Amino acid sequence: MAQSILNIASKKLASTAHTDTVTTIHVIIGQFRNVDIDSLKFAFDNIRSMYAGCSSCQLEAEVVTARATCRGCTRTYSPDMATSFRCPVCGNGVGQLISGEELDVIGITLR
Amino acid sequence: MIKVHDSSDEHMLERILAGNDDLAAHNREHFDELKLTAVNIMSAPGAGKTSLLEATVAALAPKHNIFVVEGDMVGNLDAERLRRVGASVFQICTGRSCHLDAQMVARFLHTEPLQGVELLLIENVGNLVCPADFKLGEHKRVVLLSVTEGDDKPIKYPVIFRSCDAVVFTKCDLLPYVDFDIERAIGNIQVLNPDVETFVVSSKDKTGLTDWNAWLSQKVPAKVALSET
Repeated sequence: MAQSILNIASKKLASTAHTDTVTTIHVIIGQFRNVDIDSLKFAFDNIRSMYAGCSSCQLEAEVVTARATCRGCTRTYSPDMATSFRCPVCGNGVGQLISGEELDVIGITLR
Repeated sequence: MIKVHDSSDEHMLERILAGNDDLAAHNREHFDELKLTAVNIMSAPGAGKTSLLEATVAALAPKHNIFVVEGDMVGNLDAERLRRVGASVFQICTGRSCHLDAQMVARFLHTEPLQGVELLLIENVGNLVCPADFKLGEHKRVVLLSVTEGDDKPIKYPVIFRSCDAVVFTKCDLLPYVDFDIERAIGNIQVLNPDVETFVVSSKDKTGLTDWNAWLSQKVPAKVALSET
Protein backbone atom coordinates (compact mmCIF):
# COMPACT_ATOMS: atom_id res chain seq x y z
CA MET A 1 0.00 0.00 0.00
CA ALA A 2 2.86 2.35 0.82
CA GLN A 3 4.40 1.48 -2.55
CA SER A 4 1.14 2.31 -4.33
CA ILE A 5 0.89 5.69 -2.58
CA LEU A 6 4.48 6.57 -3.49
CA ASN A 7 3.96 5.42 -7.08
CA ILE A 8 1.02 7.79 -7.43
CA ALA A 9 3.05 10.69 -6.00
CA SER A 10 6.10 9.91 -8.17
CA LYS A 11 4.01 9.88 -11.33
CA LYS A 12 2.40 13.16 -10.39
CA LEU A 13 5.81 14.71 -9.70
CA ALA A 14 7.18 13.50 -13.03
CA SER A 15 4.24 14.97 -14.91
CA THR A 16 4.28 18.38 -13.18
CA ALA A 17 6.60 21.02 -14.58
CA HIS A 18 9.01 23.04 -12.41
CA THR A 19 8.87 20.68 -9.42
CA ASP A 20 11.37 18.19 -8.09
CA THR A 21 10.17 17.30 -4.59
CA VAL A 22 7.08 15.78 -3.05
CA THR A 23 6.59 17.36 0.36
CA THR A 24 3.30 15.85 1.54
CA ILE A 25 0.89 13.18 0.44
CA HIS A 26 -2.63 13.28 1.90
CA VAL A 27 -4.61 10.07 2.02
CA ILE A 28 -7.97 9.02 3.43
CA ILE A 29 -8.40 5.52 4.82
CA GLY A 30 -11.84 4.12 5.58
CA GLN A 31 -12.39 2.46 8.95
CA PHE A 32 -13.64 -0.65 7.08
CA ARG A 33 -10.28 -1.15 5.40
CA ASN A 34 -8.47 -2.61 8.40
CA VAL A 35 -5.43 -0.46 7.68
CA ASP A 36 -3.27 0.33 10.67
CA ILE A 37 -2.11 3.90 10.10
CA ASP A 38 1.03 3.55 12.23
CA SER A 39 2.10 0.44 10.30
CA LEU A 40 1.40 2.18 7.01
CA LYS A 41 3.48 5.18 8.05
CA PHE A 42 6.27 2.92 9.25
CA ALA A 43 6.39 1.16 5.88
CA PHE A 44 6.07 4.48 4.04
CA ASP A 45 8.98 6.04 5.95
CA ASN A 46 11.15 3.01 5.26
CA ILE A 47 10.70 2.95 1.48
CA ARG A 48 10.13 6.59 0.51
CA SER A 49 13.82 7.15 -0.26
CA MET A 50 13.51 4.63 -3.09
CA TYR A 51 11.19 7.01 -4.98
CA ALA A 52 12.62 10.02 -6.81
CA GLY A 53 11.79 13.28 -5.07
CA CYS A 54 10.06 11.56 -2.14
CA SER A 55 12.93 10.98 0.27
CA SER A 56 11.63 13.47 2.84
CA CYS A 57 7.95 13.58 2.05
CA GLN A 58 5.37 13.22 4.79
CA LEU A 59 2.30 11.01 4.76
CA GLU A 60 -0.80 12.65 6.19
CA ALA A 61 -3.49 10.03 6.77
CA GLU A 62 -7.06 10.67 7.84
CA VAL A 63 -9.34 7.87 8.97
CA VAL A 64 -12.92 8.02 7.68
CA THR A 65 -15.49 6.67 10.12
CA ALA A 66 -17.71 3.91 8.76
CA ARG A 67 -21.37 4.80 8.23
CA ALA A 68 -23.95 2.31 7.09
CA THR A 69 -27.66 1.86 6.66
CA CYS A 70 -29.18 -0.79 8.90
CA ARG A 71 -30.63 -3.78 7.02
CA GLY A 72 -33.58 -3.87 9.41
CA CYS A 73 -34.74 -0.36 10.28
CA THR A 74 -32.79 1.51 7.52
CA ARG A 75 -31.42 4.00 10.05
CA THR A 76 -27.91 5.30 9.42
CA TYR A 77 -25.39 4.24 12.07
CA SER A 78 -21.67 3.76 12.65
CA PRO A 79 -20.93 0.03 12.66
CA ASP A 80 -18.09 -0.86 15.01
CA MET A 81 -16.70 -3.69 17.08
CA ALA A 82 -18.34 -2.44 20.27
CA THR A 83 -21.76 -3.55 18.97
CA SER A 84 -20.40 -6.38 16.79
CA PHE A 85 -21.34 -4.12 13.85
CA ARG A 86 -25.05 -4.40 14.70
CA CYS A 87 -27.47 -1.47 14.57
CA PRO A 88 -27.66 -0.02 18.10
CA VAL A 89 -31.42 0.50 17.75
CA CYS A 90 -32.78 -2.73 16.30
CA GLY A 91 -29.78 -5.10 16.36
CA ASN A 92 -29.82 -5.88 12.65
CA GLY A 93 -26.72 -6.01 10.49
CA VAL A 94 -24.85 -3.81 8.05
CA GLY A 95 -26.67 -2.97 4.84
CA GLN A 96 -25.19 -0.47 2.42
CA LEU A 97 -21.91 1.07 3.55
CA ILE A 98 -22.12 4.82 3.00
CA SER A 99 -18.53 5.49 4.05
CA GLY A 100 -15.64 3.60 5.53
CA GLU A 101 -14.21 1.88 2.46
CA GLU A 102 -12.13 4.82 1.24
CA LEU A 103 -8.54 4.19 0.24
CA ASP A 104 -7.61 7.27 -1.71
CA VAL A 105 -4.91 9.83 -2.27
CA ILE A 106 -6.68 13.17 -1.91
CA GLY A 107 -3.78 15.57 -2.17
CA ILE A 108 -0.13 15.82 -3.13
CA THR A 109 1.96 18.88 -2.36
CA LEU A 110 4.97 19.44 -4.61
CA ARG A 111 7.82 21.91 -4.49
CA MET B 1 4.68 25.04 -3.51
CA ILE B 2 2.18 23.42 -5.79
CA LYS B 3 -0.76 21.58 -4.38
CA VAL B 4 -1.71 19.20 -7.14
CA HIS B 5 -4.86 17.84 -5.62
CA ASP B 6 -7.17 18.76 -2.89
CA SER B 7 -10.54 17.63 -1.77
CA SER B 8 -12.30 20.51 -3.54
CA ASP B 9 -11.13 19.18 -6.90
CA GLU B 10 -13.76 16.77 -8.16
CA HIS B 11 -11.21 14.96 -10.28
CA MET B 12 -8.89 14.57 -7.37
CA LEU B 13 -9.52 11.24 -5.73
CA GLU B 14 -6.99 8.71 -6.87
CA ARG B 15 -7.59 5.21 -5.58
CA ILE B 16 -4.48 3.92 -3.84
CA LEU B 17 -5.03 0.42 -5.17
CA ALA B 18 -6.15 1.48 -8.66
CA GLY B 19 -3.08 -0.15 -10.21
CA ASN B 20 -3.91 -3.49 -8.60
CA ASP B 21 -7.62 -3.19 -9.39
CA ASP B 22 -6.89 -2.48 -13.07
CA LEU B 23 -4.59 -5.51 -13.29
CA ALA B 24 -7.20 -7.64 -11.54
CA ALA B 25 -9.73 -6.61 -14.20
CA HIS B 26 -7.17 -7.61 -16.84
CA ASN B 27 -6.74 -11.00 -15.15
CA ARG B 28 -10.51 -11.45 -15.12
CA GLU B 29 -10.61 -10.87 -18.88
CA HIS B 30 -8.07 -13.67 -19.29
CA PHE B 31 -10.07 -15.99 -17.03
CA ASP B 32 -13.25 -15.26 -18.98
CA GLU B 33 -11.54 -15.79 -22.34
CA LEU B 34 -10.28 -19.12 -21.05
CA LYS B 35 -13.79 -19.92 -19.78
CA LEU B 36 -12.46 -20.93 -16.38
CA THR B 37 -13.70 -20.10 -12.91
CA ALA B 38 -11.12 -18.60 -10.56
CA VAL B 39 -11.61 -18.94 -6.81
CA ASN B 40 -9.49 -17.02 -4.29
CA ILE B 41 -9.10 -19.07 -1.11
CA MET B 42 -8.10 -17.08 1.97
CA SER B 43 -7.68 -17.73 5.68
CA ALA B 44 -5.39 -17.23 8.63
CA PRO B 45 -2.22 -19.33 8.58
CA GLY B 46 -2.90 -22.93 9.55
CA ALA B 47 -6.66 -22.89 8.99
CA GLY B 48 -6.43 -25.84 6.62
CA LYS B 49 -6.43 -24.35 3.12
CA THR B 50 -4.02 -26.91 1.70
CA SER B 51 -5.79 -29.83 3.41
CA LEU B 52 -9.12 -28.68 1.99
CA LEU B 53 -7.58 -28.32 -1.46
CA GLU B 54 -6.10 -31.81 -1.24
CA ALA B 55 -9.56 -33.22 -0.51
CA THR B 56 -11.20 -30.99 -3.12
CA VAL B 57 -8.79 -31.92 -5.90
CA ALA B 58 -9.19 -35.62 -5.07
CA ALA B 59 -12.97 -35.31 -5.27
CA LEU B 60 -13.34 -33.02 -8.28
CA ALA B 61 -10.44 -34.00 -10.53
CA PRO B 62 -12.49 -36.75 -12.20
CA LYS B 63 -15.15 -34.17 -13.16
CA HIS B 64 -13.19 -31.00 -13.85
CA ASN B 65 -9.81 -29.93 -15.16
CA ILE B 66 -8.35 -28.19 -12.08
CA PHE B 67 -5.26 -26.03 -11.71
CA VAL B 68 -3.96 -24.72 -8.38
CA VAL B 69 -1.96 -21.55 -7.73
CA GLU B 70 -0.14 -21.85 -4.45
CA GLY B 71 0.79 -18.61 -2.69
CA ASP B 72 3.39 -18.75 0.05
CA MET B 73 5.94 -16.31 1.37
CA VAL B 74 8.68 -18.93 1.00
CA GLY B 75 9.05 -22.59 0.07
CA ASN B 76 6.97 -25.06 -1.86
CA LEU B 77 5.84 -27.51 0.82
CA ASP B 78 2.13 -26.96 0.11
CA ALA B 79 2.64 -27.19 -3.65
CA GLU B 80 4.37 -30.53 -3.20
CA ARG B 81 1.49 -31.81 -1.09
CA LEU B 82 -0.96 -30.89 -3.82
CA ARG B 83 1.18 -32.43 -6.55
CA ARG B 84 1.13 -35.67 -4.59
CA VAL B 85 -2.66 -35.82 -4.99
CA GLY B 86 -2.30 -35.21 -8.72
CA ALA B 87 -2.91 -31.47 -8.95
CA SER B 88 -1.23 -29.24 -11.51
CA VAL B 89 0.32 -26.51 -9.38
CA PHE B 90 2.07 -23.19 -9.98
CA GLN B 91 3.99 -21.85 -6.99
CA ILE B 92 4.15 -18.13 -6.29
CA CYS B 93 6.58 -17.11 -3.54
CA THR B 94 5.72 -13.63 -2.36
CA GLY B 95 8.91 -12.99 -0.39
CA ARG B 96 8.21 -10.34 2.20
CA SER B 97 4.69 -9.69 0.96
CA CYS B 98 1.92 -11.14 3.12
CA HIS B 99 -0.60 -11.56 0.28
CA LEU B 100 -0.91 -12.31 -3.39
CA ASP B 101 -1.61 -9.37 -5.66
CA ALA B 102 -2.94 -9.01 -9.18
CA GLN B 103 0.51 -8.53 -10.69
CA MET B 104 1.75 -11.86 -9.33
CA VAL B 105 -1.28 -13.60 -10.82
CA ALA B 106 -0.84 -11.71 -14.12
CA ARG B 107 2.73 -13.01 -14.38
CA PHE B 108 1.47 -16.55 -13.80
CA LEU B 109 -1.23 -16.09 -16.45
CA HIS B 110 1.34 -14.98 -19.01
CA THR B 111 3.60 -17.94 -18.15
CA GLU B 112 1.39 -20.97 -17.80
CA PRO B 113 -0.75 -22.37 -20.62
CA LEU B 114 -4.24 -22.79 -19.14
CA GLN B 115 -6.27 -23.89 -22.16
CA GLY B 116 -8.80 -26.47 -21.03
CA VAL B 117 -8.57 -25.59 -17.34
CA GLU B 118 -12.05 -25.23 -15.88
CA LEU B 119 -11.41 -24.45 -12.25
CA LEU B 120 -8.49 -22.35 -10.99
CA LEU B 121 -8.08 -22.58 -7.23
CA ILE B 122 -5.82 -19.84 -5.85
CA GLU B 123 -4.52 -20.49 -2.35
CA ASN B 124 -3.60 -17.08 -0.97
CA VAL B 125 -0.96 -16.47 1.68
CA GLY B 126 -2.26 -17.14 5.18
CA ASN B 127 -3.54 -13.76 6.40
CA LEU B 128 -6.98 -12.35 7.17
CA VAL B 129 -6.13 -8.69 6.57
CA CYS B 130 -4.29 -7.75 3.37
CA PRO B 131 -5.72 -10.39 0.97
CA ALA B 132 -9.13 -8.77 1.45
CA ASP B 133 -7.95 -5.55 -0.19
CA PHE B 134 -5.98 -7.02 -3.08
CA LYS B 135 -8.27 -8.33 -5.81
CA LEU B 136 -6.73 -10.92 -8.10
CA GLY B 137 -9.45 -11.02 -10.77
CA GLU B 138 -11.17 -13.96 -9.13
CA HIS B 139 -14.83 -14.80 -9.72
CA LYS B 140 -15.42 -16.03 -6.18
CA ARG B 141 -13.82 -15.37 -2.80
CA VAL B 142 -13.80 -18.02 -0.11
CA VAL B 143 -12.65 -17.62 3.49
CA LEU B 144 -11.77 -20.59 5.70
CA LEU B 145 -12.29 -20.32 9.45
CA SER B 146 -11.02 -23.22 11.53
CA VAL B 147 -12.88 -24.04 14.71
CA THR B 148 -9.69 -23.68 16.73
CA GLU B 149 -9.60 -19.95 15.95
CA GLY B 150 -12.69 -18.71 17.78
CA ASP B 151 -16.18 -17.83 16.61
CA ASP B 152 -15.55 -14.11 17.17
CA LYS B 153 -13.03 -13.94 14.31
CA PRO B 154 -15.51 -12.41 11.82
CA ILE B 155 -15.94 -9.44 14.17
CA LYS B 156 -12.18 -8.97 14.43
CA TYR B 157 -11.66 -9.17 10.66
CA PRO B 158 -14.83 -7.66 9.20
CA VAL B 159 -13.42 -6.64 5.83
CA ILE B 160 -12.55 -10.11 4.59
CA PHE B 161 -15.77 -11.67 5.90
CA ARG B 162 -17.89 -8.93 4.33
CA SER B 163 -16.25 -9.30 0.92
CA CYS B 164 -16.41 -13.10 0.53
CA ASP B 165 -18.93 -15.31 -1.24
CA ALA B 166 -18.52 -18.33 1.02
CA VAL B 167 -17.07 -19.31 4.39
CA VAL B 168 -15.84 -22.84 5.07
CA PHE B 169 -15.61 -23.86 8.72
CA THR B 170 -12.70 -26.29 8.86
CA LYS B 171 -11.31 -28.84 11.35
CA CYS B 172 -14.84 -29.59 12.52
CA ASP B 173 -13.72 -32.99 13.80
CA LEU B 174 -12.32 -30.90 16.70
CA LEU B 175 -15.66 -29.31 17.62
CA PRO B 176 -16.17 -31.58 20.68
CA TYR B 177 -12.89 -30.31 22.11
CA VAL B 178 -13.08 -26.56 21.49
CA ASP B 179 -15.38 -23.77 22.60
CA PHE B 180 -16.58 -22.81 19.13
CA ASP B 181 -20.25 -22.17 18.39
CA ILE B 182 -20.94 -22.60 14.66
CA GLU B 183 -24.31 -20.82 14.85
CA ARG B 184 -22.76 -17.87 16.67
CA ALA B 185 -19.98 -17.70 14.09
CA ILE B 186 -22.51 -17.76 11.22
CA GLY B 187 -24.49 -15.02 12.97
CA ASN B 188 -21.36 -12.90 13.30
CA ILE B 189 -20.66 -13.29 9.59
CA GLN B 190 -24.23 -12.61 8.50
CA VAL B 191 -24.29 -9.30 10.36
CA LEU B 192 -21.71 -8.19 7.82
CA ASN B 193 -22.63 -10.37 4.86
CA PRO B 194 -26.18 -11.78 4.84
CA ASP B 195 -25.89 -13.61 1.52
CA VAL B 196 -22.78 -15.62 2.37
CA GLU B 197 -22.78 -19.38 1.80
CA THR B 198 -21.41 -21.49 4.66
CA PHE B 199 -20.00 -25.01 4.82
CA VAL B 200 -18.97 -27.10 7.81
CA VAL B 201 -16.23 -29.57 6.93
CA SER B 202 -13.44 -31.76 8.20
CA SER B 203 -10.76 -32.46 5.61
CA LYS B 204 -9.31 -35.05 7.99
CA ASP B 205 -12.51 -37.05 8.45
CA LYS B 206 -13.81 -36.19 4.96
CA THR B 207 -17.10 -34.95 6.40
CA GLY B 208 -19.17 -32.09 5.00
CA LEU B 209 -17.18 -31.98 1.77
CA THR B 210 -20.02 -32.99 -0.55
CA ASP B 211 -21.85 -29.66 -0.31
CA TRP B 212 -18.61 -27.70 -0.66
CA ASN B 213 -17.56 -29.66 -3.72
CA ALA B 214 -21.03 -29.30 -5.23
CA TRP B 215 -20.93 -25.52 -4.69
CA LEU B 216 -17.54 -25.28 -6.39
CA SER B 217 -18.67 -27.55 -9.20
CA GLN B 218 -21.70 -25.32 -9.82
CA LYS B 219 -19.37 -22.38 -10.41
CA VAL B 220 -17.71 -24.07 -13.39
CA PRO B 221 -19.04 -22.47 -16.59
CA ALA B 222 -22.16 -24.05 -18.08
CA LYS B 223 -20.33 -24.91 -21.29
CA VAL B 224 -18.29 -27.43 -19.36
CA ALA B 225 -21.31 -28.92 -17.66
CA LEU B 226 -22.95 -29.40 -21.07
CA SER B 227 -19.90 -31.14 -22.45
CA GLU B 228 -20.08 -33.65 -19.60
CA THR B 229 -23.50 -34.87 -20.65
